[in-house]
Amino acid sequence: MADVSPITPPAFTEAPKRQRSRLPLPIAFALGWLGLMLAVAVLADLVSPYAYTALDLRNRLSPPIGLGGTWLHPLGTDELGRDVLSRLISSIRTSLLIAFGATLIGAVVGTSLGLLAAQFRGLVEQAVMALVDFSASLPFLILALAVLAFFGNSLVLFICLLGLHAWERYARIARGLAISANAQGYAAAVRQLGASAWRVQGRHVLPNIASTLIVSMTLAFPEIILLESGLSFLGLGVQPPATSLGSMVGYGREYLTRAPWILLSPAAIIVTTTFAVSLLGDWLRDRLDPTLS
Amino acid sequence: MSVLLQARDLVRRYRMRRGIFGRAVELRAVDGLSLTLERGRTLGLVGESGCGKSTTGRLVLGLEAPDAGQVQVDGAPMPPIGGRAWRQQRARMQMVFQDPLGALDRRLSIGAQVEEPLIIHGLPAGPARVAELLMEAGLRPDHAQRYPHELSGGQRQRAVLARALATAPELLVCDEPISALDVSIQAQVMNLLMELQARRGMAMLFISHDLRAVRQVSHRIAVMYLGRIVEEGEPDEVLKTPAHPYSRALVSAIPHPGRRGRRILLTGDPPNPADRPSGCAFHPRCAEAVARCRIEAPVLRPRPDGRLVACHLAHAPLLSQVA
Amino acid sequence: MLRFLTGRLLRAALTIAMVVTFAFIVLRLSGDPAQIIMGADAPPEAVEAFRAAWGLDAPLWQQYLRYFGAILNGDLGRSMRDGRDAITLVAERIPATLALTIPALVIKLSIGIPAGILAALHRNSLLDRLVMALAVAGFTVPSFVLGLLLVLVFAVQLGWLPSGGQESWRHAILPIITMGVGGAAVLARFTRSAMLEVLGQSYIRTASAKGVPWRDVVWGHALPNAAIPTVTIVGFMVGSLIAGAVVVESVFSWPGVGRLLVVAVANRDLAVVQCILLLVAGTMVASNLVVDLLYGVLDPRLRAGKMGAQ
Repeated sequence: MADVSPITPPAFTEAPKRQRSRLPLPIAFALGWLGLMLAVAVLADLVSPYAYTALDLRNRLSPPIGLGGTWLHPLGTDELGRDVLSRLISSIRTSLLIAFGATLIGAVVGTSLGLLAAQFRGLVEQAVMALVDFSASLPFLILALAVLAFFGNSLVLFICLLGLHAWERYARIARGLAISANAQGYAAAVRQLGASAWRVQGRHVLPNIASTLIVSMTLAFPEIILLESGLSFLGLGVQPPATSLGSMVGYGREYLTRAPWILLSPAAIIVTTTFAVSLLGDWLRDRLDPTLS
Repeated sequence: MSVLLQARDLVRRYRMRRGIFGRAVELRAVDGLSLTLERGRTLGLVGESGCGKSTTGRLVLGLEAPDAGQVQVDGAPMPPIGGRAWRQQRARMQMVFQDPLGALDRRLSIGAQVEEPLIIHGLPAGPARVAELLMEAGLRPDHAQRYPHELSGGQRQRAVLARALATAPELLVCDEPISALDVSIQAQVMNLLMELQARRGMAMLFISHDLRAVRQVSHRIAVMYLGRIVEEGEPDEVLKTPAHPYSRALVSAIPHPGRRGRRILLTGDPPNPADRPSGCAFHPRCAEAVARCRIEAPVLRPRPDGRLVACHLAHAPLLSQVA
Repeated sequence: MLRFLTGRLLRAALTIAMVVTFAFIVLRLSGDPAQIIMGADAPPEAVEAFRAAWGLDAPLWQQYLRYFGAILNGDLGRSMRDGRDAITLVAERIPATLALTIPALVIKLSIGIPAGILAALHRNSLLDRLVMALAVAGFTVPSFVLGLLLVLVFAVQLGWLPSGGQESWRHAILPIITMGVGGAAVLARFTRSAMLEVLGQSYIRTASAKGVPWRDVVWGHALPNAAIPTVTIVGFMVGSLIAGAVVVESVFSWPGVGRLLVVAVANRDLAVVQCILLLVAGTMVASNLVVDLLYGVLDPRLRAGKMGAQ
């Protein structure tokens, strides 16, 4: 292949086609499950057989289908006769909403701070790193509990709080990648072309670190689900009448001996969803960015 | 030939902490360096790794601010870095990097990246102009749709060149532009650089550790050691009769078929800019060092034949017999 | 060495100071504490009296200084529920928490680390896949679910073990297992990837190619190098022992610091929350300090100093 060629029309202009790789089976299942969860969350009102607060006092603590129950309440009812399936659907919606919201908030806050630190260095960077140190100095659960104690609980506060759970990860990644891009690589090259800082960050750095950030987000998502369900289980997260997967487990705990199905179905959903997202996250990481550990 | 850029007494220091337990040390990457770049002429800067050549390149372009000294372009000092005037000045001076893959955004097509400086500086853009630039750098117009990882090393470097030339710069700083390339491609890229300079009348600063490449492309050579220029002169002259002991060692290391002269092997540790020797920085490794070399740092001064040397012995060869 | 120690100690003190400041800021930001504590329908005189008693009427910076001073003096306030000193309340519960967390830590280390190492050494074998599957299970099943499942199986169905409370040593078994298993899973996964990364390095191949027996390569080269990142994560685990105990103690009604925290948060008993916050921060900082010191010992690169770093 001649490097310095006379001006002749090229023989062909397309790059070779990429192989279409098949999705491994576990990943396909994970995607399917997540799709189902998302669909349930979005269509909650349509899909739910009853309102999640509707009482059916004649059928209190009725068991689910395999254990002697009827199709009236396929997953059984709780101590107030509320349909477990309907509550489950509503819980899925709440938990997923919180998880998505929190992940996005964390990613946006963390990435912005990381990029700022990389762009301006000096005092700004020191301040951001001090905040990162501070975040890392306490287990997030404890921080969250402290904030909940002091501020009480509202859904918005809760989502923002959970959002801060992994912000320092995004900040570290964004800062690290941006610094190396700035120092040696394409960002430095474009900057010395005369591009403004906005152009360098927005058009070059951000799109390049996006894949790493997305992988990070996928890996952090299940952690938020676990965190939220843990806090809700303790009664400190989502408050009634709203219901989340964790709070269902929490309330079902009192009936562990008599009616274990109340907490088993939300627990199963928590585990399966967390597992599915983790699987997806690992796979994405292996494909997009093997440098992340 | 008129002077485009003048750098005077540049100093660039970095602060380093020697391990966690140690004290802070100052690392002088560039220590009192002056050079002049003329329009349409190439200055070759040679030296080993760590001698400060890349830093010099960045200082000359104004990508870093010197801690002391000044860089003047057309008589005017360099505007503050990052400011509007500085950004506009970028159109006049560009850099070609050692690692072409790193210098290109892997997500954007070559065409988009070559076009970018035109957009930034408000010059006429468009596929036709991009095709022109690509062809001037020896690529084909259809390369515009390719991505950096789809090209070979040589092609990538040409793409970087095309991008650098987009705004018709008056100065091109090439920092080890061929080190990362295959030997067979190196010659082609060198020829291209010389062609482009002849056609466009650019000034060029060619930084490399490869003496032969520098000799081929430069009108003037400067040899660097530990942040200072130790010798400067016409390429053929410097290579035939190097005046500084370090230059002599460098020249003797060039493999030459049928060479009969002995290779000069330098003793002592390789230079460490954080631990600069007293007096002349080269004296610990110099076979001809005398007492004065340990005490007093030599100044870069012209010899009667026009060669600039920074060595006590080069200017007063009789001293070696006395000391 | 001394300089390094003092540097680290200063940083540790700074971190604690930041936590205290954080507690203060959050406390003040959350609204008028007097109003919150006394309730919305309390008579204004009572609120005023409360405010005066707690010094809430002074300017903000004065309150901060007084607050800081009080903490330095060891006065972390009284529990608003039963009026006793917060410190005493918390200190009483520490032994109970330690009774769970220390055995759990032993389990995590003695199962997690060897499992991870073995999995890495026999990569892609059945053992590896088994360990990884278990590790993933341990990670995705939250501790409260695991705890409840264990109760369901062992206490409810089989009746072997009690389900809650702190009466006998038997009561500690399920909580310890719950805490230990989750941590072991995380540690196994982490140790495995640390080992894999080290095993992939060229110096391992070189040692092996030189004819060094594989056993010696592992013990002499791989393990010591993989120890470095592992020490970091173990340090983190030690530092977050209390956090791990929070959920488990609640599931098993175990009267430790974790359970106390949950109750205090629910009742907005700020003094107790604050006290536990500082305790956790102190534990974390102390364990980070130890990790840093160990780093200095384990990693010769840090001992000699990195030369030529840019």
